[in-house]
Formats: sequence, C-alpha cells, structure tokens
Amino acid sequence: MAETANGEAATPAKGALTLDHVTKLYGDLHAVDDVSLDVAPGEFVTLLGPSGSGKTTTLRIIGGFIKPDAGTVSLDGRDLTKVQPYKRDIGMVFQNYALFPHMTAAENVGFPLQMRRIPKAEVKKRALEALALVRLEHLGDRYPKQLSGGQQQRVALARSFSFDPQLLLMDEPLGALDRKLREALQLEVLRISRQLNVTVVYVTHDQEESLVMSDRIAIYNEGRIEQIGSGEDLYERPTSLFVADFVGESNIYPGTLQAEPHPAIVRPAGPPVRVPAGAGARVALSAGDRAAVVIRPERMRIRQGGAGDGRAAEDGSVASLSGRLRELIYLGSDRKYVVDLDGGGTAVVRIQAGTEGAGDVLGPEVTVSWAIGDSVVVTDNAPRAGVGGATLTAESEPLA
Amino acid sequence: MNQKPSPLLIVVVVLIGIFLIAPTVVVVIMSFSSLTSLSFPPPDLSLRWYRNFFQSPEWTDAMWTSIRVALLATLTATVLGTLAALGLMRGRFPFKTAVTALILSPMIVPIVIVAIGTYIVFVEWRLQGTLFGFVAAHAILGFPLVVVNVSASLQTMDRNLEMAAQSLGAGPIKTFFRITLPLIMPGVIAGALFAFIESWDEVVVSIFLSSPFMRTLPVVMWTVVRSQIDPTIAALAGMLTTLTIVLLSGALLARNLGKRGK
Repeated sequence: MAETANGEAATPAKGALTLDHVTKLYGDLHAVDDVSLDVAPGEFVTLLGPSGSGKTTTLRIIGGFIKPDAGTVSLDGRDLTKVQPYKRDIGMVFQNYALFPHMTAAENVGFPLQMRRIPKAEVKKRALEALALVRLEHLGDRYPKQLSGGQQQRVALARSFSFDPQLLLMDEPLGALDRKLREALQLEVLRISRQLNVTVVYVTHDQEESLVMSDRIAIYNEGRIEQIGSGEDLYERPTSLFVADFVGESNIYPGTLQAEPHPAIVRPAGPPVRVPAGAGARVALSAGDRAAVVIRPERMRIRQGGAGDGRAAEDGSVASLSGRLRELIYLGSDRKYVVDLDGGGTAVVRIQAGTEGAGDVLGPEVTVSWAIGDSVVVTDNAPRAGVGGATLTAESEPLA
Repeated sequence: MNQKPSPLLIVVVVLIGIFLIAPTVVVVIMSFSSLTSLSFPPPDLSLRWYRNFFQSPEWTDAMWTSIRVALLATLTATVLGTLAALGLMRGRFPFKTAVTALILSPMIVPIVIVAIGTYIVFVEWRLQGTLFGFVAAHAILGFPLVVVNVSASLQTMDRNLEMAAQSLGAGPIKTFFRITLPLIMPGVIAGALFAFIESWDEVVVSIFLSSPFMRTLPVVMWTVVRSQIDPTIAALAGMLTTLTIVLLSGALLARNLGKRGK
C-alpha cells in the first residue's frame, strides 16, 4: 500500500480489473476471443502483440467504447459491462495524444475535473498539480500545437490521471515519438503510475517497451491471450512457439516430441534435438505431439569443427548440432554467428564481447552447443511451414 | 513545385479573370451614372440611383423581406444541416447512402422542378406568399450546403477527441458542445454563409412563392428588369455583389481556418 501523490495517509490500492470471458466479433472475425484477465490493484499490465491481434479492441472494451458480444468487465467488483464510458472513471491515453486543440494544456488537464462539477479554483489548482507531476507546470498556458510531441503526450498523461481514476488505459502512447524520447517517457510513465499507485493497462507492439515497464505482459495472438506472465517468464519459459518467436530472438526447432530412449524433438530433417526430461509435461504435451524446442541465442556456444550429432553429448547434459558458419555479425557488445545447420535449419549464436574465445576466427565447419537445461519445449501452434529451422526475429524491436 | 509560372500562363489567367469579372465591373460602374438610361462609360458620376433605391418602398420592403427570409432560412438550415451531418458521419443506420443522396438532392434536381413542386404543395398548404413558406423553401435549398461543409469538417476531425472526452467524463451532449462543435465551427460558419447566400440570391423558387405583399429582392429585380431598365438595378446589383463577395470571403476564410487548425 504505497502512499498517494500528496503524501496523504496510505489508502488501500483500488483498481482491481477483471475481464471474464470477453469476446468481440466483427462478422466472422474474433477480434477478441474469450479473453479472461485479472489485474491486481496498482499492477502494470501490458497487452503485447502484433497489430490486429485484438489488444486495442480489448482496451476499448475496458474503456467502454466497444460493447463486447459476450463476457463481462468489472472494476473493484462493480460490473461495468453496461456502463457508459463517461461514467466509468477510467483514464485513457491515446497514441496521437488526442488533446483538445482549442484548449490550453491546463484547460485540457482540467477538463475531466470540470466535467465532475468541481469548483473553478480547485480545477485550476488540481490541473496545475497534475501538470507538475509531468514537469510541465510552466507550460499550462500553451496550446497543444505550441508543444512538442513529447510535451503533448505528457499533457495527455496528466489529463488522464488528473481526476484520480482507479485505472489508466494507454493505447500505444509513445508510438509516435522517436526512440530517445520514448525511452525517457517510458520511465516517466512508470514513475508516475507508481507514485499514483494506479492500475495501468498498457497496449504496445514494442516488446522492449513492455519489458521495461510491465509487472506482467499478456501476449496477444489472433484475439486470444497466448500467455501471460512476467517478462522473465515469457522470455525464459514461453509455452508456445508464437510467444517464443514474438518475445526476443530465438532458435526454434519444430518437430515431434519423443519420450524414448530419451526426451527429444524429432525434426522432419536433421538430427533430433535433446530436451530436458519433463519439458513436454510442463506444457501438457506427450510423446507424439507436435512441439518445438527453443534455445535463446545467448545460451548457445559455438566452436570450431564438426561432428556434433545432436544426441551425444560429453556428459549427457549438453546438446550440439553441426553446421557451416554463414555469417558473423559484429554488434559492439555482442558478436552474432549465423550457422546453417547440417540437414537444414539455422542457428543464431550470440557471444558477449569479453567472453573467452569471443574474437576467434571460426569456420567454415562449426558446432553449436547448449546445456540441455537451457532449452525449453513449447507447443507448436503455428501453421507448419516447410522444413523446421530457426526463426529469426528482428534484431531490434519492431518499430511502428 | 516552386518554379515560376510561365509568362504565357500569367497572361491567359489574367485574361480569363478579366472575362469573368468585366461584366460585373461594368454594371457597377454604370450604377454611378447620372443618366436615366444604362450607358457605359457614364458621362458623369452620381449617387442618385443609390438614393433612388433607398427612397423607393418597393425596393426597401423587398430588401427587408429578403433579409428576414435569409436569416431565418440560414438559422434553420444550419441547425438541421449540422445535425444531419453528425448523423451521417457518426451514425450507423441502414440505407445511409440513400439518405445522403436524398439530403443532397436539392443541389442536384433542376431548380425549376424544385420550384414547381414547392409551389404546388405550398399552395395546397396555404404557405405560398408567406414568410414561413419562403423560409422553409430556402432552408431546404441551403440545407445540403451546410451538410456538405459540416461533413467535411467532421471528416477531418480526430474521432479520438470525442472518445477522449467521453473517457474524461463528458456525456454525449457535453462532448458535442465542448469538443465537437468548437472544432467543426469553421465548417458550420462556412455552411451558414453559403446557405445565406443561397437564400439571398435565390430567384426561381422565390418567384413561384411570391405574392404582391411578399417579395424578395431578386424577385423585384426580375420584375423590374422586364418592364423598365434604369440604373437603380445596377446600383442594387453593385450592393448585392459586394455583400456576396464579403460573405463568400468569410466562408472561405472560415474553411481555411478550419484546415489550418489541424
């Protein structure tokens, strides 16, 4: 129970949001498909997913701008499903700021207070307080078009919380800003949400942003929440191929799960890949099911020479695959090796600068290896596409 | 695109401009004539025809009628047209395209047809020759002009602003008056000015609706021109043209202000 912004007596955090089996159809398309989500008071939850995956629709359902076809939305136990948006007391920040161009910054921030019939003097005082929290109290008299993009978004932020809502919704609020400013504002938004102890549901398609800001991240795919958890959960323990592929860079080898003689993924081409015992059970898979094994590039090692066979390992705890080095990419802090594996597929290996042997010249014959315990088995829900191999996600975060 | 236009282009444009403006300029110059017949160029300058206009009850009565009709018709067309534009742009209902076409039809149907139709119905309803009849008929003509202008404003307005207002606690009515209306005001003003000009200049429908006691200025001009021609009509033409230019400039200015506000 943190203190409020004014340092008043600590109040129990409010803003417990519950989505219960929410569905929204557009024609035959499930824009939001049976989404259930519990957000604790004061929690920062990000909805992350590719465009069109239903995250913005979910946000607008919470805000009351879209009526769900099924399911309920409730806040602190109060069913909001049929409540009009202007009676919900939920703050919202939009990607394009949505500041009222005919009002000054202070008037924008004071607008929600005015709507609540708060006396003029107090509106002014509280608007300035909210502006002070985003460090713009000196620009209250400016009109939106006299402010920079970053300043406009700060005003929009101040406006969204000036009336003390229990819940803030943010729809890609930093999407229109350049990278430097975005990173600064990420921390600013985080600071303010902590200070106000307000629940935040944040929509973005930028995974780096979601990792920086969120307590938990919900990965959206085709209208459903594919997995929800902390950034570490999603990165270290993805449950599906989609999540493994979407969050961070991965080496993904799809195939069929086998149990005997030892747990492994049998690939359509190339040698099978050993996986940890019980790895299939974690995601409720059993022998014969479609599955994929995921190894993060920084968990892999690379060495000169061939003869890795994928099963055999020095002491049974290391898996290896042989191949030919295709590319060596210098990234400053890291070196990235791209290897065409024998029998098909690709491996990406990331070696941190300063690691022993990081600068060695390698190739063309190389072997990549990793501790079997560092690999994760995920369900393969992706449409099968050709010979399995590594999926290379973009190096940096996807940009709008 | 910043290159200088060729001299030939400039000459052609100036000639076209002269061609378009010259007749009006000639009429305005003739209105200052001291002679009783229309002549160009006038041998002497005088304001007698302007004095004549304001001293003749036939003209001034018509002018007051015109002003009353135009103001009331503008008010009616602007309120209804703004509401209709909101409905068309924001609402979701069946046969929207058909409704839009119907609303715009007064701009498309030949004015004589509108006039005859209005006449037949208004005689039946005893509205012919009444102020209410004039206002109703002119409002219908101005209505699509308002709809078109306000729709254009609504189209360029960011709908997130309305959503933001609602999320901040403004109900639909407050959202309209505090957010939507101020932002589409340039379109509303432009539409209103066009509607005013439409009513002020309208002659065909007005001829059908007029009675000896209820005539708008263009109707009297039409009647007078057919029987006698003296420079009074030129004086009036000069004044009407000036007023129209002022209003039209206002409408275009309002539109531009709206665009620049984006």
